[in-house]
Amino acid sequence: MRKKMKVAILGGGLIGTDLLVKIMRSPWLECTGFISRNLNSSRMLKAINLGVFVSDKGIGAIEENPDQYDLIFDATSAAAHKIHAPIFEKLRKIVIDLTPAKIGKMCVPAVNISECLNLNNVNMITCGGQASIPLAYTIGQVHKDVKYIEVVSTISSRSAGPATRANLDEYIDTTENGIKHFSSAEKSKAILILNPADPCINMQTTVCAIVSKPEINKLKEEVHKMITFLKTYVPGYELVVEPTVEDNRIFMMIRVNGLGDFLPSYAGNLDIINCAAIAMAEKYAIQKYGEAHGK
Amino acid sequence: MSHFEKEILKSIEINEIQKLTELKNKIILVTGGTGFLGLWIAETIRLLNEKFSFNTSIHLLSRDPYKNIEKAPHLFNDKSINFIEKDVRDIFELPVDIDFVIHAASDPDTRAHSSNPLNVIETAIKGTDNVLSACMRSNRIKKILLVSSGLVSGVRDVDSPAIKENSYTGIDPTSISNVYAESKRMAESIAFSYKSLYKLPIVISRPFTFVGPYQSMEKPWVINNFIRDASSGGPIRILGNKNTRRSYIYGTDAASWTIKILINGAAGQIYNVAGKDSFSVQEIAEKVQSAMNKNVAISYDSTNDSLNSNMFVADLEQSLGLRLHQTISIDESIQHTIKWHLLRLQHLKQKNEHN
Amino acid sequence: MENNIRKKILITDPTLRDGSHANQHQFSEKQIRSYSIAAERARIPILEVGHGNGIGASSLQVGLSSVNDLDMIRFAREHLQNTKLGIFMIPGFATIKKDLRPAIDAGADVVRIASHCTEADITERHIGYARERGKLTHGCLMSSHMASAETLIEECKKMESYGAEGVILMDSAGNYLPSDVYEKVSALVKNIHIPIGFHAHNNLSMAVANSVAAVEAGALIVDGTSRGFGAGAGNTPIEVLVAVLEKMGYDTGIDLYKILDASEIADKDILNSKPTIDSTSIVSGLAGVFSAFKKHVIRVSAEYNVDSRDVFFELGRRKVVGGQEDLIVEIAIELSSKEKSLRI
Repeated sequence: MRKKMKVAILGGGLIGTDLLVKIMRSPWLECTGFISRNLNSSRMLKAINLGVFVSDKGIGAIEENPDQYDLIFDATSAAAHKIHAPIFEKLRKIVIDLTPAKIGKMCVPAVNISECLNLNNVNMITCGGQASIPLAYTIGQVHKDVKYIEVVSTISSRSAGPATRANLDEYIDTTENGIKHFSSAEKSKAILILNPADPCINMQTTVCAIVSKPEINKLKEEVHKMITFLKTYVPGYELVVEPTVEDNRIFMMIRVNGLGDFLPSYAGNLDIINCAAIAMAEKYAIQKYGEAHGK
Repeated sequence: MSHFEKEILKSIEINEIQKLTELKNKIILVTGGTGFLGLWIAETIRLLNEKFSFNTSIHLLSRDPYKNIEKAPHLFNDKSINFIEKDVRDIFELPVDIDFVIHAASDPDTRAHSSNPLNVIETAIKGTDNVLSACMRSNRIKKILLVSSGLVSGVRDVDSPAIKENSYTGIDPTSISNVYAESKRMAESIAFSYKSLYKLPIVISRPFTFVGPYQSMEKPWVINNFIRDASSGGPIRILGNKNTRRSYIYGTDAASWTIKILINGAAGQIYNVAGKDSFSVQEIAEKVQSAMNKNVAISYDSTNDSLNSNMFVADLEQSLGLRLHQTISIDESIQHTIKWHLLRLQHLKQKNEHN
Repeated sequence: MENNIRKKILITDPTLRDGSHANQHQFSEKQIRSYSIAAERARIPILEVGHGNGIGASSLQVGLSSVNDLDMIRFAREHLQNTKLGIFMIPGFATIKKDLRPAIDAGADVVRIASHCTEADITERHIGYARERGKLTHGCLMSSHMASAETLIEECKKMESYGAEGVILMDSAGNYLPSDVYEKVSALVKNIHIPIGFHAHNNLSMAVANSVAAVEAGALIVDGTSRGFGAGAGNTPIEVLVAVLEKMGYDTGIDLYKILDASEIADKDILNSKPTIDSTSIVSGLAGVFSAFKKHVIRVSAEYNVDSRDVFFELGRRKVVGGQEDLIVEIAIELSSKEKSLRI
């Protein structure tokens, strides 16, 4: 019998449930707990229906049976993760944090997956960060002196729930930090636009940069390589405007069509952060049990 | 061939059939799919497919889809109609291919309100929340219709003006008989919250009083009770106040209106679904009496006529804006209903004799 | 007696904010100072300053400012006593920590928090913060032509519940006709307790007429800029607005001669390009596209050799909202490759 890494999902919201659907498909991961504070939701019914162990005891469920889990996805809230993090540390569990708690190392699989493998708590930044940082990183790799990088993400209103809307400032702050960290730009700016058009638009992200001498051909080549790799874990990631110089700035645009697992396909913004979290978890599993195993 | 072809053709108003073309090659989900409205919607879609090649498919979701199988076996054999056995209280996902949703699941049976009020509340509130939350995750659904009830606008005295969609009186929450109206009110609040928060294109219909085949004899509605009384030799018993007025709408009209509101109604708008004239209970009893051509008596069993004399009559200006018309009059409605009940009684009798 | 008291209309002057769009956010210190002095003299109640898309919006996406917002506020502040200093902010572009707090610290008196007309719930924290700081706080619903009166009522009620002391309906695309304005403003006045305002753009030459319709429908706050200096075809010319409201018997508190002087000063010192209703403005108004897109559309269309009018109509078809200027490049590239393939 092949061995899979045992993972728990903490947080039974839309993000957690979408992760669950993705895990059910993974050759390397097995969901051994779908944990929330409330059994009485249609999402819990979905988990039960998939034959997954569910609990309404929150972090208590993990403390009671720590051996049931090797890795935990924390899809609760930043405030809750601050309480959870020391408990996970004591239990020596690997944690992939999908909240903006900013405790663990910032993780973008396409950029620093190997570095993250040695850590026990990694943070998935923001959806806009997962979409734009690989491109910002590439700009930073190709150019020595990146003065400024700006990322603008437009998402459909319907994919922005009350929590996203209340936390726009944190989104901007966290994304700007991530961009600067991975691109070595002197300055960064993140903008988020909600568009209510019906039918819903897919998430789109534009990355602009100011560098002293754009190396556009080299950049194109590297961006294509980066996207080829990204697509291995975010299949719906598409370059819609090739890197170009327009009005003295580097300009490129991507669009993310979600997998439509539990979340609708227009919610590419939510899909991409989950895809990234799964890619990271699978890498941990491969490290533990070996590459050939999942095949 | 459809069983109710003439009436359905009349109700869809063929000269305006282009208003329905948006349904062509689409898939509709109806919750409460085997209830009165659900069955009539299915009958209407079936005819649109047969006569006008609409190629529309319909999912009828119901917690007990087989309950009505003997009433409408032709629907159960129709390839464009798919039955889903599910309770809206336990829904977490809807089929991925649907374009339109009509959320009609509810329990308007007043007996259930008394004996299991919590069930009624749960179906309305949790059911609506579940259905809309599943709709929110679809990027295909074009429009959602919440079938509410005229009752949400509150109780009125018999001489009040017809009820407009934006006019409200209170509902007494301490009376168990009001759980249906109260929970429907909450369901509308849930719908407007989803509309505000997630921009779901939700439109609301508020039916008043239905009449027509598929209402069971034992259900506590005035007309079928009168038919039952008259067919068993009478007397036609009027319980409660004989002056209470209602505006009745026949099944085929109700279904056509519902479909037209779904397609042409504006998101966030509410439309009454009712007949254009109102009739007192006394007048209905007399109509049943004369239609059945029997010398049955009408008896009254009320302690005080001046008490509880109220009205449940819709103002139809907003619905007229969508060009919704009553095409089956109250007299025709009663005649069709009687005919259906008598045929059924005969059929059941034959079946019993066979056994 | 009470009939003799003229109804008060509060005028806000965003010449140094919306006007930023017209000069690609290149106001100089001298211009800011000179217009602030003129505004104070004319007794304009509120003078709004900052980047065209509000404080913290200076970016490659919508344009970089030459003078940063805090300096703009400081320069204007030095010359204002009776005239209040207003700022404008769009959550998603700016944050409390980076932008709003320092702007209030630098001396802003009036804070406008704006969102696209269907997204009022992103303004909750920012309106709350401005109120907490004791500032007069208005909510703004941008591109309000894209939503029905019912939706606007709902969004206004949200802003009201967050603490907004007025809500401004913005005709960001200059798309309205007076009858539209009358319908929407009166629906809001009927349903909302706080004052309703109107901010016009002149794409279809309706800015003054639309402002009048708003006041007639019960609006208590109206915006105007010197000579109409603002995004796209510009705004309502404040000097005309004051004259017309005066004639209609409203009290704006503004000195007519001095506002005429102020517009002369603006004409001489700050209007490097006068707002005109050119072809692109008309098309942009018809297509219902945010006025501030104009300069970007013209630049990008020229770069990719496509008809700017086609770009505007395509933007309209895609129902873009303020801040989606990046789509201009995508659309221009698409149109230009389509044209090339036609030529082949």
